[in-house]
Amino acid sequence: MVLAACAIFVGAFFYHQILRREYYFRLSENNRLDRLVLRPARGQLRDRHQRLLATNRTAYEVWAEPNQLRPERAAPLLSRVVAGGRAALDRALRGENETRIGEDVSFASLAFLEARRLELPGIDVRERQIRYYTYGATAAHLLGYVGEVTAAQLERAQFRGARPGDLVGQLGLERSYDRLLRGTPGFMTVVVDHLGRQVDILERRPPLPGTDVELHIDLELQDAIEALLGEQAGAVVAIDPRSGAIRALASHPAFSPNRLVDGLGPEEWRQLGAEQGGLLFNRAIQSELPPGSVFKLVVAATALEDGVITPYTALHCGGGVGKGNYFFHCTKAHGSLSLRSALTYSCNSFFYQLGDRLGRERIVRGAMRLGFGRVTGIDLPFERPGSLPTKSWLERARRGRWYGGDNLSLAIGQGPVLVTPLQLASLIAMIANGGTLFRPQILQRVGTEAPVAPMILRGSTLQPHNLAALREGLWGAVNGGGTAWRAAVPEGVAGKTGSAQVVSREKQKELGRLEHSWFVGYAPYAAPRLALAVILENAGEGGKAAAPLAQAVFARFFELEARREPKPAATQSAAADIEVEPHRDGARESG
Amino acid sequence: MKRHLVHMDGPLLVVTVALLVVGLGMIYSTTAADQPELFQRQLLSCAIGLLAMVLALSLDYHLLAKWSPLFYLVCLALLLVPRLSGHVVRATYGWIELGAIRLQPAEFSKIAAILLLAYALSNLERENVGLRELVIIALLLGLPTAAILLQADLGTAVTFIPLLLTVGYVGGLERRGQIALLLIFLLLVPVIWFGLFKDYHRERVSSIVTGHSDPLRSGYQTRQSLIAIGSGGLAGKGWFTGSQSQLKFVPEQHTDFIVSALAEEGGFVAILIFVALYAALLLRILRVAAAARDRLGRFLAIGVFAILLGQFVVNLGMVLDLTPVVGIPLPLISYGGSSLVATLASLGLVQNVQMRRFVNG
Repeated sequence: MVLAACAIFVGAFFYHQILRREYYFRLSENNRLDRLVLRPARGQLRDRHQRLLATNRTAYEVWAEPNQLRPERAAPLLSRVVAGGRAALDRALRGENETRIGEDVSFASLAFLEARRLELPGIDVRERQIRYYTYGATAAHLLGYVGEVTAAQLERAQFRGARPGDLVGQLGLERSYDRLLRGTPGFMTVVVDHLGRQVDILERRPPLPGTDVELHIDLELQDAIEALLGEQAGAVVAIDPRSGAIRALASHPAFSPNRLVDGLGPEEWRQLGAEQGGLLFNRAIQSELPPGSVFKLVVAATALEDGVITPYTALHCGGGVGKGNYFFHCTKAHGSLSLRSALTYSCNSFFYQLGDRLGRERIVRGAMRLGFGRVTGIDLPFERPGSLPTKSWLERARRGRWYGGDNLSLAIGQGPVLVTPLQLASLIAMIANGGTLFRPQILQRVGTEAPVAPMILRGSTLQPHNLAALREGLWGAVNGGGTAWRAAVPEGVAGKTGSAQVVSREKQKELGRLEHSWFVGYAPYAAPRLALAVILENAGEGGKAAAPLAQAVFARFFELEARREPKPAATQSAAADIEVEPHRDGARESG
Repeated sequence: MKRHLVHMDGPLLVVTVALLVVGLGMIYSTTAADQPELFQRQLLSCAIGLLAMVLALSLDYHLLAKWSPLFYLVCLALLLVPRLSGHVVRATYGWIELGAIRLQPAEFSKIAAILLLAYALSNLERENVGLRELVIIALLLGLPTAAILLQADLGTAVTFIPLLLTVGYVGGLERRGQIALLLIFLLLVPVIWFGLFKDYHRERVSSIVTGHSDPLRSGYQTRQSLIAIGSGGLAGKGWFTGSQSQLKFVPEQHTDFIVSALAEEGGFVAILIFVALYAALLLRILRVAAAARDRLGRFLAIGVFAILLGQFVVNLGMVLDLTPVVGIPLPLISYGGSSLVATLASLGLVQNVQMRRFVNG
């Protein structure tokens, strides 16, 4: 009997130790070794004055281990710390593995849990680095937000190197510079005991933190613009015309990126929906709207460059222009005027005639040369290209039909042309800087590298005398009794308003909806340092809604500038004198 | 005395000491890191146990048998003390605390039961065990078993079963007795299952029946034990270097599951040596039984053999996941003072029988 028992046992040991040794050895190594991913700190975002816009902070999470949990005791204690304590516990108990039952609990809750540690077996508090946007909803669309990488995203080249569970940029700069900001995870192979406690470290490769980046954005200007927008749906783009650097880019309504970091319920996501009107929708680069009279700048530039008119060509306005069976109205009979006056008073008749002479194809070609109908290439994701009545568009949308009258509508920006606020900002910056079309750029500097050089899309779009005519017209619009007079500040603004009808004028009245209000402009006139595009949705005529807002933005800009670089006392005393701005090289960012 | 010592079983003593050394070595390896005092305590227990062994072999076993009723009653009383004082160690009530010393009376009650049983059976007029005798045996063993079960110590209670079987078998059980024994068992099964088993007992059994249904609960221990054993391979991972043992993945690895640590660190080679030693120990005891002078001596040796074999089989079965996990230490190897002292004392009894095997001695 003894020998039989011994034989059975020796046989069993032989089976496990000799025949299945590899299998068990692997299991024992799995028990013993734990490979931990060391997540890198995400790079921080700063504005041009080193203000921290996006950083990381420690969040405390509450985890429950279902096998050790004592729910009857834990539930009343936990409900004071975790929202829906009992329900969360039940969820955790149903699972096999550890479950996160509380995200980002308060410091007071943390202290409470630590004090009750012995009464709460199976409850663990862990630290995690989460993204934190210092200024809350300010510049939300610009900065974007981070979220767990989705299965579909893991397939894409943009997110190469990310692992399931990683946080990646989902929108805004967080997304466009994700590779830079993300850093490289490290790992650590540790020996753990039966409680999962770390006993020894076998191998450790530290993570490489993400790179910090510096933006061209001026937080204070951004903040002021968002305050000015208030509850008005719309967008404002502020560009430094000398380099294409984005100083501010605002879109309302906006979202709170801090709330997105930890994930939301499906209902909240629906509200945020990225489709038109959703909170994630960045009007500044995604909203495609008719430009209204602002488009006259494009038509004017095209007519001048194509030699259809000179700056001195005079055309007559008798209150409108007839074409075919239709009569195209102007606001009043302006009489004979040159391009300057036509821009100043936003005379439709003048541009109807230009449209008639130019025709669709030349207008489209001219617009494309100035960057319309395609994305500007700003360093933000999901930019929209707008649209122009190109040949292919015509085939698609109108079966190729285009009438003579359509040229007239197109010339005043009411035809089938859609632009984004950013495209118009880019255009006005080009006019301001002497004809250079820059690619708009938000990133100023990566880490400690030299600043990113401005990128020129098109060197000289307009001949100097043609450009001067446009600028003079814009000056007049603000300062010469034109439509944009409400945008004026002492430093000297040049600009153009626009009112974009979304539906016909009659229908608009019927619905009680106002037209979209546009303003584009720059200042100071002599040596521009800020170019603006403002769109206020359904806010009324450009001159009455968008222009005053632009005025406030310009005023704030110069106020901030003065505070940063106080002028020498001598010039301050002579403030009444006409100042001649030191003219800087318009195509290069100074410093 | 001296002439009796000459007749001691030398090989049995050597094997006993060898197994003690194996046990101490493994206890040292599994506890030195975080509970170094356990090894010292086991060393002390070892000394006390050897003393108890000497004590158990110096007095004539006939004399000891005469005192056995008293010893039995004392043990029975002690078994009830922990339940009343309510001291709980590892969810059982089997401990008595006397200052720094903690005793498990259940371990000593085994010796008392063996002694009294042998005494009672040897004093029967008849050669065979009849129904009346069986009732006496069952009662004698049943009382401490019941008391131990009250302590919620299933493992120790189980060890009385082989004692009952073996003694009944060797005693020459009549057919009626065999049937009665079977009936008792059949009767006991539902009583134990529903009356005495707690949920975790039932879980232990069901985890055996259904396989590894829940590796993190009832099956966890045996699973980790198998991983430790299997990963040891032929030569083992080396003393002090078994990851399963050193990092405490196997619960109770210095007590009930110490063989898994031996298998992991010593490998199949160490296991072969260990099993051979244990087989030698058991066979040596059987030899003593065969050569015993009288029925009392034979029953004593057989009793000790039955208890040790039962624990050996159940413990290894448990460690190898062949039988349910019940808390049974491996005599001479596992950590635990009471078990060690009681085992050495019972081996002293066996030597006692061997020394005095000659009628004219």
